[in-house]
Amino acid sequence: MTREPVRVCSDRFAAPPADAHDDMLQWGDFIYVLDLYERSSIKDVTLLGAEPNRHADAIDMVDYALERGFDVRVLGTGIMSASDRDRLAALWGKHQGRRLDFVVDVGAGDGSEEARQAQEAFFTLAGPRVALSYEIAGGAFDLGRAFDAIARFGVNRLLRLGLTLPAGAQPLSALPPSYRSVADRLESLVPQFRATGVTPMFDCGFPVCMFSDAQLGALTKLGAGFNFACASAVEIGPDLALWPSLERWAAPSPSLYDFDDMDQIAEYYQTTLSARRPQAGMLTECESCDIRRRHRCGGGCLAHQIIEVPIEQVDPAARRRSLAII
Amino acid sequence: MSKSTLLRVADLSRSSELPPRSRVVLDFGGERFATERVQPWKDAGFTVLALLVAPPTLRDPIITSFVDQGDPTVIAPRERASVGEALAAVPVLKRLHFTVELPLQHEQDLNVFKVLSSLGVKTRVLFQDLATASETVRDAMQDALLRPGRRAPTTPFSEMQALFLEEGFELARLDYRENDHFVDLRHSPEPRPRSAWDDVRVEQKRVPFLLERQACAFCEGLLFCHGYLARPDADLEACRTMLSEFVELHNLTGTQERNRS
Repeated sequence: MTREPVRVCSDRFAAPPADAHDDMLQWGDFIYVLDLYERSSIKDVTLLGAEPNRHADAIDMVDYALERGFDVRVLGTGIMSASDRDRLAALWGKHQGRRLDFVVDVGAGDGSEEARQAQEAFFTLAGPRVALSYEIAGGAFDLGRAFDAIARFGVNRLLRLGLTLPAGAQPLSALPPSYRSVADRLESLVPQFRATGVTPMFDCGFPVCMFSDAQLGALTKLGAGFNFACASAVEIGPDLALWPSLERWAAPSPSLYDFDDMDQIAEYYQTTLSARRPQAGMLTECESCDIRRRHRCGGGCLAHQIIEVPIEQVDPAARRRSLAII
Repeated sequence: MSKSTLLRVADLSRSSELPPRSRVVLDFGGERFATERVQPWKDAGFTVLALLVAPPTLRDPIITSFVDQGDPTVIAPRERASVGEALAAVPVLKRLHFTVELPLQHEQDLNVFKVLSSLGVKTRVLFQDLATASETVRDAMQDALLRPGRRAPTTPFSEMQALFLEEGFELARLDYRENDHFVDLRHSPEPRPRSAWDDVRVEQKRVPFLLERQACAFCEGLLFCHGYLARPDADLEACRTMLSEFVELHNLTGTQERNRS
């Protein structure tokens, strides 16, 4: 909804394209996005930055999407004024039967006391409608703040975990030690997960081979959800430019207006992605890995597997568009 | 058929001036609905074409008084609405017999228009804005005709689309003001001669434009506009562009419909 980066994993999530010209999502464009979703039979929408301190019409846009019959998920900080909190809370009563929930990064906010208090007030008000998210950037991570927020404010007990460990552009011959240390740290937190009733949800970037069988077993017993595949979300910018949320993508962004429905967009990115992903995964052994062949693992974070190729190779239409402009 | 009559709902005493069993549009101004004010008109044999109400805002409680009756009702708020106000009013406005008349001058107006229309609220464009053929109006027309998603009908675009080739259809029929289809008694206490209600032969109206080769003679919209939008201050070139665009969109959507069926 804005050009401000909202996603917390700056290591892998690409920023909006530099040539994007609208800083804020406009009403006409927002309505068009929902029109396209509706045509594509998609009934839920995820809004990045749909918070009143980022976009003046954020709450009205959430209200509109709910009124139109969409379930809404907001990725943000939860930091807002008391009056905006009340306006947002009023939407839960107004749209009963619709889902409006939030994913908040554990480390969101500028660290000020004021921001912390506003966030805690939001957690108290929204309770289980808030799920926390944490990006693991190394073996020494600390989930204390997440456990604390879940215990004190009754936010959702499902904790989303992402992995943002640099791996390099070329396939590696062996898994970097940092992956193992993350797995060891997660294993050490199993008693705390068990005691607090918090369930980890491994969202993306985790290769199966970073865990031992014992670690996987212990985490599975917690009811943990594993998404070992890695699929890039396609983001829609405020000016309706599209780009996959992958670092190093750096290809010209088509516009939402270039497509008739979401299936066409998915097909476009599946085609372009496969042209730019020559390896099976982040490790050389991914090529022959039985787990990957069974589609139980995506070979680690996709962001590290993208290579540069001429745009004409991945998007012949781009060349035609370019010639037409000349 | 004689012309319809625009009256204040309280002016039942003027019913004797009207052709018997004719059609009336009853104007409530800023007042609440009351059955006892409409029923006497029906009992006197008149057909109620529409009720008009002009609340101060879209959220005014007057509007709710019109919910539990079935006559077509045009709500024309006196103040320009914001998107937030429009959203708050949607649950009340989303009625089959309600149509909200909206200005289309600024981007905010267009946002309100699209929000309401896409949420199932029937809308109407103010004719004085339609006559400007501005970018905003043309954007609204495209939205109403192309219907990129769910859209409730918008007057006059949906009627234009449905009745484009119907002999006898013209835009003035949809505009509640003194014209070839309405006699407006709201602002004139003097009685009118009965001849004021004589019908106008619509089919003949475009002939002078063609004979005199007026600007409108070269417009595709003359078929149903008959120069109604050519007000003294109108930008006729913009108007012609808008109506050409309408015909183009009409043909396009017609082709799509045929292909689908």
